[in-house]
Amino acid sequence: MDNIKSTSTQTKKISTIFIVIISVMLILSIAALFQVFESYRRGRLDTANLILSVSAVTISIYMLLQLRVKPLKLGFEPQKVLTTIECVSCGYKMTREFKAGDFMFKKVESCPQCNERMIISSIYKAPQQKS
Amino acid sequence: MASNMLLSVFQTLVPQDNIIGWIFQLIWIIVFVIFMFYGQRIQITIMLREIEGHLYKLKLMRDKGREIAISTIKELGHPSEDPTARVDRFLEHVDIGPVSLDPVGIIKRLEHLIDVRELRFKDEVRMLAPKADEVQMMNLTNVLEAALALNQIYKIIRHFYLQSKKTLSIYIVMQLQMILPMVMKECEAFASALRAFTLGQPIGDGVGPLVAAKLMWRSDKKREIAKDIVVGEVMIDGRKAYVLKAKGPGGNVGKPGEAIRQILEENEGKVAMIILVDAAQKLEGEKSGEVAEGVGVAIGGVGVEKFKVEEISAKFKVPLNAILIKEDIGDVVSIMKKEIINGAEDAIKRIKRLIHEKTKEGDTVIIAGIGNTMGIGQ
Ligand SMILES: [Zn+2]
Repeated sequence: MDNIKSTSTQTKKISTIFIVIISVMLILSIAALFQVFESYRRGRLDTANLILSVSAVTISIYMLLQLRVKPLKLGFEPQKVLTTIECVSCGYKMTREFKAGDFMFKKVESCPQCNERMIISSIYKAPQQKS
Repeated sequence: MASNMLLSVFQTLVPQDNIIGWIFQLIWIIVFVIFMFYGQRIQITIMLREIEGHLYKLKLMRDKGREIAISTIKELGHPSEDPTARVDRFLEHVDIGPVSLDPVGIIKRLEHLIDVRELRFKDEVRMLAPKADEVQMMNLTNVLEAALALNQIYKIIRHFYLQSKKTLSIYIVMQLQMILPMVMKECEAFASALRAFTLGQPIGDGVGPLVAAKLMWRSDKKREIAKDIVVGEVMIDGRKAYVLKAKGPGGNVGKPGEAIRQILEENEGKVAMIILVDAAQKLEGEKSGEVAEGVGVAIGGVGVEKFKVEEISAKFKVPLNAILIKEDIGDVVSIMKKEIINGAEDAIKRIKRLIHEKTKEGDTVIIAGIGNTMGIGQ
């Protein structure tokens, strides 16, 4: 267990150093950009410096955005599961949400149409709706 | 204008006869030397960082799996004491396979080990959750198995990660990086399976038992033939069919090979055909729920049951047919999808066609639904 903890804290340490480096780079490149503007106001356009500093700013912002922690999806999220109940004799069908204790081919309450027995005919993951 | 701009960029990057030029040249040389001597090191570090991210996710999954297992045990089993210590001990369970140096009789030995393991797991679950009923007990065993798998995968990946960090060997890192996408997919499947197991919901692997249950649920001649296997006799197209599946709705695979052997012996080998229905891993590009036919014994796992069916059917010269329902590896242990249920319908049509074409009226056939029957009764 100690090993795991040390690994994860190490990850955090490395990433803070990384953030500091990128921030320094960002500040420096912004300073360079500012200098370019200063010299432009004095009448001299330094194209090379402009291109270099602009690209440095873009790269550091991009890297900072990349560092943002994405929400981890572990796959344990509860899923919507549907249960279909079917009447054996008249074919009456009904779908509801899964309840604990449901299983396929379980005899459940009698049919509202013909009072015959009904069984659970299928249990499945609800298809994902695209919004 | 453009050429002017290019020229000025060029002048900055390429040394001129001034001090800045010299500095730039020096930087270029240093960068070049660093990459020449430490290129691989840098690459390894980048790869290790990527693996570290995956490892962290695996750790979260394992912890969450353990947590779910413990809370389910508390909820269903009402244990008198805190089950945490016992669960932790269980998650460190180790299986030692039989010796294969002398392979004679290895199946018998392997079967014995599997039986012992199963008994051990059941005992353990009974101790953990004394108040759970039979079905819940089965499901809890499955929950613990999934948590165990997550723990062991995490530990193995961590082992190789730490080893590669120690040795800085690019070969170990690369091996790890190569298998990681598949490992992650499998672990995500186990994670989603855990949820399904706690509620006793049917999983993709249950498509074989589902087909069998659809064929046999109306039959009144149902009995338990081998350990945890139920067989029902039904008439299909004038042929007598023995339909068998694991006993549901608790999570269970049973011993289908044993059951097939017993039915064949009861009928003195006078069986026209054996049909095995099972879930099979689909290839990328194939659709979930697609049905394929083939020849051979479609039983997964370590091979004990497969061996039994092959041996007994060879003895009595009974043709073996396989009907496979294609699924993604992630679907096999996660909650059953609608496509797979539709695949089961298709499989039944194929079974009926196969029986109609390949056997005569009055013949006897065996239809076996292979897989975990969790959430599927009969
Ligand atoms: Zn009805």
